[in-house]
Amino acid sequence: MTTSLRTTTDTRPRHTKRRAGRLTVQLVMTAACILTAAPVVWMIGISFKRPADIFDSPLNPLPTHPTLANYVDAFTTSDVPHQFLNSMIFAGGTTLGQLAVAVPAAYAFSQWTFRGANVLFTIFLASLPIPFIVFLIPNYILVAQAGLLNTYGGLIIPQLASAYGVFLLRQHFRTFPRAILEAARLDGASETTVITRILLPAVRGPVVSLGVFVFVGAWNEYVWPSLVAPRPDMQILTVGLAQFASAEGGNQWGPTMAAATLVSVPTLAAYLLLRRQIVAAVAAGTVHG
Amino acid sequence: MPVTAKVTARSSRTQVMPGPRRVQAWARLRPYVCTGPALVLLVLFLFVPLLLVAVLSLFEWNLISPTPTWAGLDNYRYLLTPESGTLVVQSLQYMGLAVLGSFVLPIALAVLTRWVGPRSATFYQAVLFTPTVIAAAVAGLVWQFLLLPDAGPVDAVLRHLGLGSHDWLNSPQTALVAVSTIATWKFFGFNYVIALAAVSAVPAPQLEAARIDGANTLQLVRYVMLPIMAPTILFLLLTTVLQALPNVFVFIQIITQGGPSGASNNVLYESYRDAFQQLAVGPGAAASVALVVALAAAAIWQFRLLDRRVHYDH
Repeated sequence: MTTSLRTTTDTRPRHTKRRAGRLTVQLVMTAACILTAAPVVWMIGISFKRPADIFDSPLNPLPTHPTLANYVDAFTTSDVPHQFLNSMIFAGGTTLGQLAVAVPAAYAFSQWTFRGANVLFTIFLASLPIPFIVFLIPNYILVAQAGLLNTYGGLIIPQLASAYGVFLLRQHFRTFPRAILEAARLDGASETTVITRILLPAVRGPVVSLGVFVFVGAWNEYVWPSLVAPRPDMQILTVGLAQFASAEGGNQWGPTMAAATLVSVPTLAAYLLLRRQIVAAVAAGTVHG
Repeated sequence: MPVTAKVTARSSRTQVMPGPRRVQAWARLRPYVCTGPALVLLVLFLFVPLLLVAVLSLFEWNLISPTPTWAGLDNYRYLLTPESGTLVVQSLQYMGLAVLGSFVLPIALAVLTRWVGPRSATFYQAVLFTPTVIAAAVAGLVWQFLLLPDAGPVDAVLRHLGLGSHDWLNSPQTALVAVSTIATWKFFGFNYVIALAAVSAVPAPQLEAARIDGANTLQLVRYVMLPIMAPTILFLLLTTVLQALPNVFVFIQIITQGGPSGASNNVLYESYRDAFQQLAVGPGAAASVALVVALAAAAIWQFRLLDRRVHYDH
């Protein structure tokens, strides 16, 4: 009796305390969300403002007289369609290339035991934390010596050196039941059939995740493309955007924001449609170190 | 009779795998054929560059002349000047700020997210991850606008609070912190998603049990959640330190170029500027080598920590 009485008196303040705690958490998280979203809202809002209105009310990102003039300006000053095409080739080529390299390697590491497998996998693991940008100088020299400056090959091929895909896909390929693959092999299926007809359809999710993740990353790349493909006809969107902004002297905020929005539309759209896949590629490959 | 049996057995085997010897050779070769392309690319663009940068650090070269000239350790002597000391200090400042913004903060918010419903958690994750899909070049330009002195929204807010106006990106006192803040905005959500996955993997019964044993929320986090999250936490610390300078690179390149008067510069950006703007490949390569050695030491130290603290298998 006394115990039950004590619990009832104890639970009440505890509940209010918990509710207060939960409210605080929600306040903190909401503040973080507002701070995170604000720059994107400002970018899109300013891109539709008339030049005269941009600094009228600094705290209101929404255009009072929406206009497309900034977009017209961005399109006429800079060769947006051509840069868009270059971005598509660069990001698409990087994605297809990384998948073409990572799928067979991940399959080999997950299905077969072979001599040197451990050493090879350790090499892959060791390369994981090396940021590509640290080797900008030697990679630039390699590409330049190969005569690949201002070519799609020079842009794309060095970007294919990534162990992340191998690592991520191997995790998923390993969890696929071996018995099913063995059964198919006994039924006379070739190794290629096993990969393309049985394994790949079953692990489509992670492969798509990786593909979208790589595409978005390559689309957003700036440093490498600005270094090896600076020629106007080879520039990708991000490089064109930075050049456009500095050519405008950093004062034409309307057209700059319009161009920035144009660069972001494909990745934001991909994120809206494939958010779960993109997030999965980030969360899955890392948790088990 | 036994002969026929043997033949049928053999023929059925050939049906499955025609030409046993060729198949065996192929079975032995195919792992290397499949892993080969990935390996060759890694060697060519990560391990060869590692060697190449070490070699280049011993030469004097301007990227244009046909042959580099031998310089011995001269390029490393340049690393010992007071200017380099400033670069090292500023690099460590970038790393420290990255640890705060892209390591402590995401983990703290991920832990907090445990106390909201799953639907709110999904919403927070969706919003906080958004900057990750925005190009750094875009983010740099947008933040340049947001941080404009007087006319920009950030200054407008500060004025309302009576805090005056600041030229965040162009004054030596604030440029480094401002650049680092922009990088935090861009990369915060990436680590938040990883931390959140680890938080969600903490089993609810363990939290309940600790709660029943009388643990308060802080103890729950300190003694139940964080130990279970340890592998992820150490992984995040490692990547945050390694990525700190690469992550601010674009913003420095687009916004400050290391200025004003070197205030937002660091070792990585300086190595790039040496090589591609001053056309002094040697000093740039030497700086790269020093950076790689420092980062590798940090990585090895953290891997050791990881091995000692947690048991995990791959």
